[in-house]
Amino acid sequence: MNNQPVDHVRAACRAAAGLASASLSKWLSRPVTITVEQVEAMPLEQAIGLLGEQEGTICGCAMGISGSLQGILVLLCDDDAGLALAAMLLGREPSADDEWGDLEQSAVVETTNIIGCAYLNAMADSTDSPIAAMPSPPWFLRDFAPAVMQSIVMAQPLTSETVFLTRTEFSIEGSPARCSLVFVPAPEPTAASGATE
Amino acid sequence: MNAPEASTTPSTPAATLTVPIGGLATARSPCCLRTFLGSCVGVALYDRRLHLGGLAHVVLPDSAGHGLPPGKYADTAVAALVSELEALAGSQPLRLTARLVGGAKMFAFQSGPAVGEQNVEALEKLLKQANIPLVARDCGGSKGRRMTLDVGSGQITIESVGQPHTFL
Amino acid sequence: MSETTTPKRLLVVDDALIMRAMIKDIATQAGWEIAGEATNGRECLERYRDLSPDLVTLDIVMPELDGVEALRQLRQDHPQAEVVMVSAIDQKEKLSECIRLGARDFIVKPFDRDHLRSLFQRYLG
Repeated sequence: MNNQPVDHVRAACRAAAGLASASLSKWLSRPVTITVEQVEAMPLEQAIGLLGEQEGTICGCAMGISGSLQGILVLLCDDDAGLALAAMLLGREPSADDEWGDLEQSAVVETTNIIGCAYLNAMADSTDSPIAAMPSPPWFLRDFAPAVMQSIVMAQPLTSETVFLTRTEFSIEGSPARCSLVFVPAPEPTAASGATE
Repeated sequence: MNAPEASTTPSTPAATLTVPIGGLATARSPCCLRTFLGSCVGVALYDRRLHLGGLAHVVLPDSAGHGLPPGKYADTAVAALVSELEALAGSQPLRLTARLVGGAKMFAFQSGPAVGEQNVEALEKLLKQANIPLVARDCGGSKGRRMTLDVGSGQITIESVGQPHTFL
Repeated sequence: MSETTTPKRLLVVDDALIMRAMIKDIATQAGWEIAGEATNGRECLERYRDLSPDLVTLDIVMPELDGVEALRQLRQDHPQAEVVMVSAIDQKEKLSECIRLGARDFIVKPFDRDHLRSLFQRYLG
């Protein structure tokens, strides 16, 4: 991905984000809007603070991507958003008493699978030569936000002082829930260090 | 996020200073140094007699000559911590011990030698070379950690989500 | 005099609890009996052997053994096995591979409930 012209990468990521958004909307049976779109290289410290300076817990559901496109794809949200998402899928009103159980966790995991695959399907279609991009089964975790972000950006070997990533934030109609889909591609083996801006 | 500072000596009693990724901080009592660790490793150096402590948030095992910021790399972090603690100690000789925290592998699908393990190995080697005894550790696993070094007492508190606190 | 027909039996294979619940619900509404469930490809092969279902819905991205490999082995051991892939993967290569291996259909997630219900009704005949 690092060897592609920047405009091409941005266009591919934008198309992928659009399809992921459409997929999320269909999955939830309600409109979804993209509220943030980022495609950039940034210093490591900035990547760790991607979701703001919060030090509380966040939920992350990650898939390792392998094939001709490699990297890590993660759905990130706070507890309220994750439980609200689960409530929508389970056909009930969110409540302050909602807790993370197997079904709630499964709802977030499957959401990651569906919109993550939609993102990958679009990326796979975005170039002339066929790309195979296969995700691993999603892995759910709930942990301190800085620790989660560290593990996401450090899942790829650092070959430069910057981290290239894409981030799409989704807003769901009728809910304050926001979630972010972040893709950190693996650096190309022959990529030189330096930002792709 | 601000760039990590090379060292900070807060004057407010019992202040808690958060060390960001790749950062390091040293302090005299009373003060707490705190950091969040996923795959990264926190290395705490402490002198019980002088109540001086330092904490570095190590990201990678080897600076390969880059060196900045010093807290980011195992090789430069240990040297920088020692140097700053020596400055704080003045003419008094340091008797440091070390403790390591972090190096988790939070995603099961990560393959190959995890960077966390590599950081721990590199730090073990460097501490041995520097004749600093490694007296305790809480490394590995799959959970993130919030690590707090109380420079007054020397106690390290480790918090993980959904688990009771542990102490080193 | 009315005939009693033996209900057709479905094996649902998906690692996500919520997805298995959804598919079971739709299949039941369409008149299917749920023979069993599996959470990965390996369990799929074991359950098929034990249950001999009339139809299998099979996810692709699963731990231990993925759905494509499970499909390959299933069709090798049981050439008569009827399998419908239900997956979020929508890449031409994967679709072609599954059809080549003998999958009867490929439903892309997120699916339309009515579409899946119609498919189950169709396979009842």
